[in-house]
Amino acid sequence: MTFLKKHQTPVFLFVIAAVLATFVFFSMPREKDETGFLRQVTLETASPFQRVFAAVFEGLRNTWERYLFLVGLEEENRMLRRRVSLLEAELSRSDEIRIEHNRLLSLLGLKKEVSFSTVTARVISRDRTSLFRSFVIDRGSRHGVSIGSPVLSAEGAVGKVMDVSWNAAKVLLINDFNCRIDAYVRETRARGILQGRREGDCTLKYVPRSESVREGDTVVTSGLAGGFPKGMRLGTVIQVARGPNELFQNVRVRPTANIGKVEEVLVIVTETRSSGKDDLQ
Amino acid sequence: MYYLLLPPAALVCVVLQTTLVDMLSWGTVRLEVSLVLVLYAGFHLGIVRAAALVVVFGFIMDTLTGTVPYFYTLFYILVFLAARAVSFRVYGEGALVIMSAAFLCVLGQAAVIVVLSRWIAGVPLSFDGMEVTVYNSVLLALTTPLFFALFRKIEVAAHGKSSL
Repeated sequence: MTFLKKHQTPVFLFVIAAVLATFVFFSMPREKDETGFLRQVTLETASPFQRVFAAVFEGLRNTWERYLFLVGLEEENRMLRRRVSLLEAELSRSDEIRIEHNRLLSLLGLKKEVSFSTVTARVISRDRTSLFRSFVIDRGSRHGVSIGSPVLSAEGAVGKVMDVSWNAAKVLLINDFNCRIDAYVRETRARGILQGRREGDCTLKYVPRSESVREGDTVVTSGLAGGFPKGMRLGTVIQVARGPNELFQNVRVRPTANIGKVEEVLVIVTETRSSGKDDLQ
Repeated sequence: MYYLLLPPAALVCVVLQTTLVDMLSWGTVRLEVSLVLVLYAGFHLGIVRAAALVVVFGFIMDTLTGTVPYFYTLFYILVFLAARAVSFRVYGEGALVIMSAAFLCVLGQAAVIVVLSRWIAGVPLSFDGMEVTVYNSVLLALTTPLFFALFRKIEVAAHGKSSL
């Protein structure tokens, strides 16, 4: 006891370090691309509470919006908005296919079809004012979701899964500074890495000065890394700055998807590649 | 009993903090009650209890909202140690002291994020949106005495006496 009283501060620091080390140990993944057990348990335990709160407040909000204001118009407006979003996404995809088609006409012999299997998920918890950009969805490893799975909305890419438990997953949003996605400018094919900024928008890094990038250009996924399908809309260029002595341009991008308000998302769980029957035989 | 109840209570508290406040304020207000609780622990609770509380809250915040591994855990430990050190020298129940501490903690947290995003992630340095952080730190500072009073009542209800 005398020893403890005499060395109170070092003992206290040691205890904190030991507790922290234990937490770190049990929350570390045993394998790459796996969420630590303790984190999985925490995420899993929190999800029912988050679901309940989300459902209650969603219900209250819907009641307010639907029955007290503009009963029929609100529903119709919502449906039309959803349809516009879907059509925009379809149009964007078609544009990308047309450009790719023209460029690859000489490679007609290559029959390649990429299809994706997706699951629909609801956002059950988010903190829009947090210093970090993430939210929790109600689908987990039992539904095929894994770390790195791309998350999309009708308007474009939203983020990727960073932690997953059995029935819930945490999504790292594209406007978080930890998120980096290989991307290019659709109009000029200028390549770069899209990274989130604290302010809620993104920056397209490593675009050489010589590349032509204009405000209003569309930034899409390259499909090279991160599991995102090629040609998914990421955002629109809102500012381009070229410093006098800099190798790269400073390109600011506003995400296409309304990340702060998205309620349902699609998670790509598997990618199926088929190159025609000949390849299978 | 305290150590058994701490993880589920912390979980509910963090879920309420992240979900409820966001939904009620439509994403305009941030009230990091867990940070106030860490300050309260630093000023008033016994060392072992406080340390457990700080680590559990930090870990849950990291798991549910953080994107930088162990950011909240480490930040909360730093805040706790600072509050502990300060509590030996000043009266930790003065409204001005706890309000200033809460204000500085929120600003400090934002500053650490700016530094992390600049020096680790390579994001261009920018102070856009800092007014929101200042606004939230003022809000948290103003509400901190109320939260301290609430925590004291909970402590009294749970143990029959306050640590004061």
